[in-house]
Formats: sequence, C-alpha cells, structure tokens
Amino acid sequence: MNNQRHSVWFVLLSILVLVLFFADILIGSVSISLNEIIQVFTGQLPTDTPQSIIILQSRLPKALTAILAGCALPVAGLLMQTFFRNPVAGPDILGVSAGSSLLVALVMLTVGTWFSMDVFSNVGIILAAIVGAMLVLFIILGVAARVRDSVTLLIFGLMFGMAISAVVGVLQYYSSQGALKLFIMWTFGSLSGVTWSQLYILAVIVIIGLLLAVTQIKALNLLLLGEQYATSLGLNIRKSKIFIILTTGLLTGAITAFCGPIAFIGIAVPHLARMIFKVNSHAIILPASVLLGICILLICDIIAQTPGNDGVLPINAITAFMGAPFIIYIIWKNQHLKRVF
Amino acid sequence: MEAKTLLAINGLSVGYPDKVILKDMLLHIPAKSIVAVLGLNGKGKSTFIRTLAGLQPALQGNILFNERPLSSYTAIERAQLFSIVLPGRGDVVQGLLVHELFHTTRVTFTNGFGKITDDDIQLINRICTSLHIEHLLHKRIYQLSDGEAQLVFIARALIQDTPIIFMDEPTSYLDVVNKAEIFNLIQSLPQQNKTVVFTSHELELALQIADYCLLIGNEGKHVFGTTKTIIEQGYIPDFFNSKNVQFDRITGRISLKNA
Repeated sequence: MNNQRHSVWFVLLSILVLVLFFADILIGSVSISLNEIIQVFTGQLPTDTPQSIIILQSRLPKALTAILAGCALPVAGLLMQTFFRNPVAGPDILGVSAGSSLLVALVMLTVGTWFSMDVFSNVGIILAAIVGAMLVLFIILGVAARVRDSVTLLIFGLMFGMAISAVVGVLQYYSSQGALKLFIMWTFGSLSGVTWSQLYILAVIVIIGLLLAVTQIKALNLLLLGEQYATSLGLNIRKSKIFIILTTGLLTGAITAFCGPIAFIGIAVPHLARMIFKVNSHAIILPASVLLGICILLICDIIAQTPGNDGVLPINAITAFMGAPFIIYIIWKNQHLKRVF
Repeated sequence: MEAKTLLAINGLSVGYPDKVILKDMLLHIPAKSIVAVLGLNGKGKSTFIRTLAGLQPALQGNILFNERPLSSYTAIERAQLFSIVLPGRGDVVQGLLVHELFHTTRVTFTNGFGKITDDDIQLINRICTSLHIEHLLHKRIYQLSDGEAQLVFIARALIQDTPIIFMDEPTSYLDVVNKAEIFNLIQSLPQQNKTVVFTSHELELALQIADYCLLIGNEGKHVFGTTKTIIEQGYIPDFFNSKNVQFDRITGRISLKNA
C-alpha cells in the first residue's frame, strides 16, 4: 500500500520536473513560442538567431543550473539533518554556506587580485567554496561532540555564520573596487550567471556528490537509530562521518561557488519529502528530496522572472519567501522538535 | 562444569581512563543462560554491560566470545554475535517508524544498498507475532507507551538474531504488569538458544529468572556465581545493606524492616 503510494508520487514528481523544466525555458522577458524552442533543440533554427542564442546561452544553462542546485542543496540539507540529528540543520543555517563565502571572499578579494581573475574564476572559487564548507562542517562536528542539545548547536551555527559574515565584511572594506564588485555580484545568489564551461564542472561535482550520498544511504538509516545502536549494528561511525562531511561539503560548496548562497532550499525540501512520503528511510527520502528540490527551484526561477517581465528577482528572495513560512509551520506543528528527530 | 562457556571474562577492568570502576572481574557464562547484573545506582552496571557490548573499551583484561577475544571480531561479526537493548528508547530518532527500525536492523547484514530479503521479512513477522506487536509496526517511536517501546526494542534485538543479547535496564519506567511481561519474555529466551545478560533494579524478579548473578557493591566490590549460591551464601544482604530492608534467604523476598 505504502509502496504503491510512493511509486505514484515518484512518477508524478518526475512528470512535474519535465513540465517545469520546459516551462522555465519557455518563460522569460523575450517571448519565444514552444514551437521555436522545439526548432532550436532539433537544430531547425540556425544557432545564430536571437531565439537560439537566448535559449542556448541563457535559458537552458539557467534551467540546468536550477536542476543541479535543486538536486544538491536538499541532499546536503538531508545529510546534515540526519548527521546532526537536527530538524533545522541545513547548509545555510549552520554556517556552511557562510564558510564557503568566506573562502570565496578570500580568494576573490585577495589572491584573485594578484592574478588574472580568469585563472581563478572557476577552479579557484569552486575549491575555495568546497574547502570553506568542509572547514565549517568539521568545526560544527567538533562542537556537536560536546553539546548534544540541538538548539544549542543551532544557536552556535547561527552565531558562527554571523561571525564569518563579519569577517567577510571586513575583507570587503579592505579590498579594491573591481574585486569587490565581482564579489558583491556573487553574493546576490543567482542561477543565471553560470556559463556552459562552469556548468560542466558543476554537473560533474554534483553528480559525484549525489553518487557519494547514495552510497551512504545504509549508514544514514543506521544513524537514525542513534550512534550506540548504529555501532552495535556494525557501522563505522567515524568513517561514515567523514564520508557525509565530504559529500555535504562538495554539494554545498559547488552550488555556493557558482550560484552564491541560496537560502532555505536545503533545510525545507527534506521536510516536505518526509511530509509527503511519511517515512524516514533515506532510500525514499533522498530521491524524493532530489525530485522535490528540482521542482521547487524551477518554480522559484519561474517566479523570479515573471514580475514586470524585465528584470529578474534575486533567487534568494524567492526561496526565503517560500521557505521561511514553511519552516515556521514545521516548527509550529512539532512544538517538540524531538518528534521529528 | 556443565555447558560450554560462551562468554569468558578474565581479569577485566572497566571504567574510564581516569577512573577505574570495576577491576579483576572473572566471569564464565555458559550458552543459553540468563545473567542478572545487580547493584545500587552508579556502581558500574551499565559501564560493565557497555564494555561487554564493545561500546566502550575495556581498561584491562580480556573478553572472549567462543574462546576468541572480542577485539579480534570485525564490526559486522560483532553485530551477528550480540545485540543490545539500551535503556528506554536509546537515542533513536523519535519520528522513526517501528517497521523502519526493524528493517534497518536487518539491512546491516545485506550488501550494497541494503535490500532486505524475504527471509528477513519472515523473521521480522515471526518475532512481531510472537511478541504480539504487529499493531505497532506503523507507529512512530514517540507514539509508543513505555511498555510498548520496551517490547519493540527487545523485538529489535531479537530481529538482529544474535546468540547473545545485552539489556541495560530493560524494565526501567515500567509498571508492575509490564515488568512481569518483560521478565517472562527474558525467561523464555534460552529456549530460543539465546543468552541474556541484563542489568536491573528489580532484585526480587531478577533473582527469580536468572541462572547467574553478578552483584556489584561499593568501591568496586563484586561477586559472581549461580543465583542459588549467591542467595545461599548470604551475599544479597551484604551487597544491598540497608537499615530499612531485609532479605529472606528462603523465599527470596525483600521486605521493609519496620513493617
């Protein structure tokens, strides 16, 4: 009975992903008909027509970026929630995105100004973001070993994030105008700034991260039983912790590097998946989070470009607008957060 | 002696690097027996059982399962040799469904992504039927009463399907009816080829079902023997020394001295 319901949802969500993907390509400031889109994809329109350029150079990479971010952030959030046994854990909440920002700022505002930005723009930023994410994860892990209370850990993460932001602020104050402008653009968070060459790197890292996450499904399920039961069932806790941190760092870092810090998707989507599928098993919740995450980011991206039809709203504003009330609802409904975790 | 020794503990010290709690422990536990670990609060019952279960390192001495040292077993071999029942609900995520708890317990023995087999499902069903907990399968951990939760976690240990089960306070928080149910269940386990080592505060009930007793007293004082010897040699009043209660050697009952 449960399995049937799950299958129906998986099929529905897969269809929804496809529909939203085409809708995202269809909608934009320049109106392009579905017919023209099909012509572009089938190669019937030459690649130098305005329609082709808009679709192939702007809308398609943006939609693909939304899909990659929609996969990566919820999986990172899910891993962190299980790992820290904390229902409100997420890359943006516990300061992991902030850690990425700090290292990206260091690279962009200092090292990047010594060399040509081209050398550092892709590989340098992505490495900085991943290392930054993992550094914060290790620090929070160290704190989590000493404070078992999830609210304390949460407050620590928030404070830590703020402290990092302050350091970033100081860095900005002392940096040159050119470098600063690049960095500020980056912090706005955007799906549209990603070029094809960056998209390839992003796709490879996200796919590696997702595959790593899939190998951890068994360990994640065991971690839901608590460390003592998990140990007694033969789980090597230390090894799986390192794997989970590596995976979360890769996924958060890669997305943060190219899209900036995107809020709320990582924390909210796993909860939505648990609400719909009504189970905890990562074999269900992980793929469900991926599909739901893609749908939600595509929807956010569609909303971001509809009003006024000209400019594009920052994606962070949309995700926060949808995500914050949802998280408030989750907390309201489970006044004892222990009921979720 | 009688049966073959399943679990041999020689010169074991347990505790923490800066504080030895029990030392020079010598216990030989034959297969299919029930061992009660009894003592007042904070004397090291849990520390002892956690050390046996490999959840914390032994300070000294060795623990042999089937004449092989605990340290020589791999993590998965240990999981096939003994299971644990932690006090209360342990650290299990409260929103977890009971059937997920059982599935995850079986999944540990599968390869790859952890698809469980029909045999696993049959084992789960059989144990749920024998413990009468089928109706709890779709409940979440926080929805269980204390008595139900205790049954569920003992069922979990049985589903792990190990010859040895360690239970730390399996009857804490339970009323007298539920306590009796759990003790009856423990008593029936040797028939299923299980050896049970459990800690308890229920002196009277524990003495009724245990084949062996380990008494733990003040300053690391401890004694191990068959329940019969422990009672007849007068160890109980020695270890549970109090001006308020008295222990009747013949009936095994405890009563208030002034009553």
